[in-house]
Amino acid sequence: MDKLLEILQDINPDIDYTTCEDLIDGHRLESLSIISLIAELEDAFDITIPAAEIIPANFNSAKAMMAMIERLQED
Amino acid sequence: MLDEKNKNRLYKSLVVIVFMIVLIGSMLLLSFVFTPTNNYPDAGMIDWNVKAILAEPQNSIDAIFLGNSEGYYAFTPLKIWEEQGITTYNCSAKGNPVNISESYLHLAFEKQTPKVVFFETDSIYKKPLVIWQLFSSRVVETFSVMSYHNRWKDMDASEIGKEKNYTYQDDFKGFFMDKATVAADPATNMNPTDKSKHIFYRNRQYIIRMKEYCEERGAKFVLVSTPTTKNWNMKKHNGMAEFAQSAGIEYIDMNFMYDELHIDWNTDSRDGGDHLNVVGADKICSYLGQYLANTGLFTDKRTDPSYSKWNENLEKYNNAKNPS
Amino acid sequence: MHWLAYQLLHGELPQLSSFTNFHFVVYAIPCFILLYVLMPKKLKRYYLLIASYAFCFLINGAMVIYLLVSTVSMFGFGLLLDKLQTQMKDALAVTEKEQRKAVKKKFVIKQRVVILFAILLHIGTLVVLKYTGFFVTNINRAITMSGGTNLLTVPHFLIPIGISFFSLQALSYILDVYRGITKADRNILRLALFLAFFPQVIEGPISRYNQTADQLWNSPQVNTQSFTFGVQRIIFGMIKKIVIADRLNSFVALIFNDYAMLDGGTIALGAILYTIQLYMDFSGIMDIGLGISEIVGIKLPENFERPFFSKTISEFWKRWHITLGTWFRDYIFYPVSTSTSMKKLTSSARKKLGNHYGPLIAGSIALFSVWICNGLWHGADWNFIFFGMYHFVLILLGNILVPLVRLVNKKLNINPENFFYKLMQILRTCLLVVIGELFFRANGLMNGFHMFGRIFTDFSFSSLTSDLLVRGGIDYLDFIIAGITLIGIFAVSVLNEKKISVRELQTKPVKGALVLQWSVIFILAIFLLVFGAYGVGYAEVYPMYAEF
Repeated sequence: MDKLLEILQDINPDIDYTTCEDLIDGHRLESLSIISLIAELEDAFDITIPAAEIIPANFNSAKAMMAMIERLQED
Repeated sequence: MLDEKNKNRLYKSLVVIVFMIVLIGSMLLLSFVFTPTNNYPDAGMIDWNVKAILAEPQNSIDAIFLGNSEGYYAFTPLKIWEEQGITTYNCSAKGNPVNISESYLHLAFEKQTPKVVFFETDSIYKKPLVIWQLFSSRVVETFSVMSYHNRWKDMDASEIGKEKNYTYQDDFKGFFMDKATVAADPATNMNPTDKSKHIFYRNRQYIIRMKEYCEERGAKFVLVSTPTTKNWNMKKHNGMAEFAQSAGIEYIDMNFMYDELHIDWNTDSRDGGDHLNVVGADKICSYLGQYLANTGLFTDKRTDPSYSKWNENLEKYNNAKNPS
Repeated sequence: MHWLAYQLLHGELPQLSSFTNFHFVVYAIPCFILLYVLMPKKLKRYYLLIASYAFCFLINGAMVIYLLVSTVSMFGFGLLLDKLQTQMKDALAVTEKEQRKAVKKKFVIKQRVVILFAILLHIGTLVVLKYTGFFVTNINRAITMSGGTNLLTVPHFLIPIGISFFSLQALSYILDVYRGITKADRNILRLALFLAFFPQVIEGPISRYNQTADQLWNSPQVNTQSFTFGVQRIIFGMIKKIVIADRLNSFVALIFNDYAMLDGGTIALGAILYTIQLYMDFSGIMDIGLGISEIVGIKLPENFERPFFSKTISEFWKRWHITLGTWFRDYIFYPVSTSTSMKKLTSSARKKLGNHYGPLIAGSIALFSVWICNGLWHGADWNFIFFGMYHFVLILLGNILVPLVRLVNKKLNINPENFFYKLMQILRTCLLVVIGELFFRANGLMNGFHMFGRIFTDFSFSSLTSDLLVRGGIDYLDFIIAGITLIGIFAVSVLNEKKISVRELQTKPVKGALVLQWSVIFILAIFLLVFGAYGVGYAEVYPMYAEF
């Protein structure tokens, strides 16, 4: 989780990721940030995030992202 | 007794039913407000040229014409007046299906007792309105606000609620003078064939009913095909001739008379053979005037002072045709 | 009795053309709802399916054939993908861990081949129908320019209405099955209903299988609240379409056809009026479609979210024609920008160029793909391609300038949350959108440039004469009524923008809420009846987006 928060902070330091629940739906993370984020996450966690996973529900909060990462790591 | 749930249901249904009643009532009220009581063209009257027959003096019209746009551009009463002194009225309107023509026939007989009724045949081959279309036209008729709602722009409030009183007479008696000329290709539409086109059952019924209506009122009902290279052909003629014979109706097909009528397709059509223009209309009405005169039913009223308005209109007509 | 038989024999069915057609409003909608209410719960789904196909048939017979083919394709490709996925699972279960990747790859490739065929079928049909004429015309142009005389004949296909919309919908289902978002449906009737549901089949919203298929198949009971608000929404949409859009139609057409004789001010007015017309037409038809669905208890995805309150072009496209935007986002933007090579590019670029510009390269390539597709989707013409590129460049510029704007704002001490700052952003975005729509509507790209140029070289309103208004079939009273109606719609939008729901306001009164709601319907209906631009002097205008 800390590793994830670090990556997120690096991409946009203006957001409080521990509480925010509408990163996508609130237009806080723009598509460009998502592109960075995916590249970084794949590197950091050694996973592949298929396009099917890029849906608001998976990126609206740090918690949701962590859940997705853990799920993908199991595969 | 009603329990809570049913009470609630009843209440909801009641709201919707009251809504429907209020809506329909308001639409009727608005229809009353919006429908013009006079027939000035700019009052938004639909087919005002036809409805203006109600503004003609009682029993002053000798013969009438019915039909769609073919008749609208072809039957010119003032030409007949000029040559024969017989008063006619053109009750054709663009795109009229046969059943609407029937209602215009009834309209004409409200104040007139014409002795001859000509019916232009083009609309008889058109698809008759089907049941829901008839219902639609009834709906639109009842809720006339749907036709006249655009009058909100220039309605005269003092007119609302007055009794229907049509005072506006049409100078050209229902005829639309179109001076445009588009030459038509040489006519080949009447090349012989044995085939005949089917006439829709309901249109036959309308025609037979109109014929009976006329006969009951002492009028002669005549089918006329006006010259048109685009809308008439031998197949249609054959079908119409068979039908007319079986129904015992006199039928005149002017598409056999291009030479006799001196129709020149370079000058006599407004749109390349689809409809006649005023030049063509004058030519065929010379013929129809002669036809009316030959019946011996009518007197020449050109010198009758009570018809002096017709002479004034004729002057307007000729001026409009050839502006100096 | 022979009367009825005769009518059936001669196939004299009422012609439906669209949601605002007289027959549709007076008979089709009420009959549809009444029968739906009376239909036993079990049969409702089949009734929806039959009603949808009947609607399509009455609009255009060819449409039914395309819908059937698309449904069969969805069914077949879905099952095929499902079979491959099951086989893969079975194979993986018996494979050693080290070899799993290789086995998986084999099956993924197989699935991709299936997907390729599905895309070829759906997009290929669209391309052939919509673009053959365009390509042939341009080849002919090239032949003429190089002095050749052997021109190719330009084919004319009968393009069924709505195909651009339901093709994307069909394809999204197949792609979702491939991605594992959706299970392959073994019930072809449910797929058929998902694809052909009539409130959405003419011009969207482009729904996803997960959004609507089960809702439709479960065909809920009608309840009073959704019935009431559904009726309200239908009439609200009809006001947008018939009072405003149809009223402006012939005047806008006149300006775009005869622009050569008009000055810049009039052309600019034409562009603004066209933008209003398009929005009122498209969102109005959406309101009608979503209203009908709401009555029968089905929630379709929204296609508009007050787009003219957007502060940037990028935001505008998240709020205008939303379902098309999300389609392109999910099936083009992210797949392109997160493909393996792009991800590598992003990672390395980010180290060199930093957080903002790093992902911009991959993002821009993906964005370009999206906008080329968006332009082409609208139709085969250079001005649609230009329209796509125009918005691509605007969004790209926006992305590039973000750090600069932030810097300038900081230096000048401007608070971006300031009301006037936001207002300026909104107005700027509207202006840019209107310019885009000018090119979008122009009769050919060259005419678009001429018109745009004239706004700068010849700006006056001297050609806006009463004679022009007469020829455009419009007078000052038309502008006034359109203006008043727009103000009303704007007021509702402002409330919504402030998160105040007009619907909630109507449910507040403890007693008589229902009476209040039906009174609103009554007032809207009478307003529509009197001030609608229909009947004598107005032509029925087909939904504008259905042509795309």
